[in-house]
Amino acid sequence: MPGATLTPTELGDLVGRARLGEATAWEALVRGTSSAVYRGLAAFDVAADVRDELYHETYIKLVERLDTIQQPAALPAWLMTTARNQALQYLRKRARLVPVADLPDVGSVFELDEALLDDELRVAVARAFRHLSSACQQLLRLLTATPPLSYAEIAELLDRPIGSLGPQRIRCLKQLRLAPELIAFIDVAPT
Amino acid sequence: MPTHPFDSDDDVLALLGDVLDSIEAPSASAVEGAEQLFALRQLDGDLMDLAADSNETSLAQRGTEAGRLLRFESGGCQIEIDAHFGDGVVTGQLTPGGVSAITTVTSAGASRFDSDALGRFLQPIAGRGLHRWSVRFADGRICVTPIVRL
Repeated sequence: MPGATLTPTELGDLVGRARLGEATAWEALVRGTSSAVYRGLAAFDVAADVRDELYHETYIKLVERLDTIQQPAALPAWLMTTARNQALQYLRKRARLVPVADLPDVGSVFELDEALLDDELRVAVARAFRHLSSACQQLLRLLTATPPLSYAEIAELLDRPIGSLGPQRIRCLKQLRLAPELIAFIDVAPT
Repeated sequence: MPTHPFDSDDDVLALLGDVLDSIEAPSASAVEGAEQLFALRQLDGDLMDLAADSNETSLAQRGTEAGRLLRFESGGCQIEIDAHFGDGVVTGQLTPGGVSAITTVTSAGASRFDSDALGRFLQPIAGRGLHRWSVRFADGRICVTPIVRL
C-alpha cells in the first residue's frame, strides 16, 4: 500500500513532528516510506512473512534512532540500507541453522502475485520484470522507489560506480521494453 | 511506424513503480504494526546495548524457546531480564541495586513498578511481543533498553 511520494521538505517536517511526539506524523512517515523499505527487501530470497518481519524490524531501528537522523531527506536510503542489513543478518542466521542443501537458490526471483494487478498491460509488465536479470531487477526497484533515491544513494546501495548506473539503466529499460511479454503491446500504425 | 504504450523512460519507470507497489508491498498488518511502534518510543534516557541474548538467532528461531535471557548494559548500569514464557513472568535484576523505578512499554501500553532494595523485580508478561524497559536508578540515572521482541 504505497503512500503519496514525500518531498524532502515533507520528510523533514514529519521527522521533526514525530520527534516531538506526534504519533500521526510517525504513521505518515511509515506509510510514506514503506515502499522504500520493501524495495530494499524485495531482492532477497525470503518468505513473505519473513519479509514482513524484516520490514517491521527496520522500523524498530528507526523508532530507536529517530532522534539521531541528521538528514531526513536521506531517510529513504537509510531505511533501504537498514532493511538490506536486516535481510543479510537473517540470511546469515538461516544459513547457520539450515543445511546448505536445503537452502533455495539465493537471488531467485520475487514471487509475483499477479492477482493483485488489474489489467493486461500491468500483468505483462510484471511478467517481463520477472524475466529480467537480478541486477536489472535490483536497479529498477531502486530507480522506482518512493520517495525517490538519488543516483549517489543508489550507487552506494549497490556498491557500484555512479557512472555505471546510467548505461545500465538504459540497458535494463531496453530489455524490459523488448521483453516478449511487452512486444505484444506494440501497435503497428497503418502505412 | 511502431508505437509503444510507454515511449519515454519516465513513463516506463512510472508504470513499473506502480506495478511493483502493487505486488511487492508489505501486508496491511505489517504496516499497522510499524505504525504502532511509536508507542515504544516515548522513553528518555541513555540507550543501553544488548550485551547478551540467549536467543541470538531470534528471527530465525522465534517462538521455539521456553524462555529468554537478556542482559543490557550502558556505562555502569545493567539490566538482566529472565523471561519465563510458561509462567508468564519476567524476573529481573538491576545493577546497581537499590529501589529503582521501572517502566515497561509494549505496543499495548506502559506499566510502572519498583524493584526491591536489592534491585530485583518480578513482572507479569502478557505475550511475546515487543518490549522495552526504562529504569530510573536510585542515583537518578535513567537507562533505556533497545526494543526487543520476547
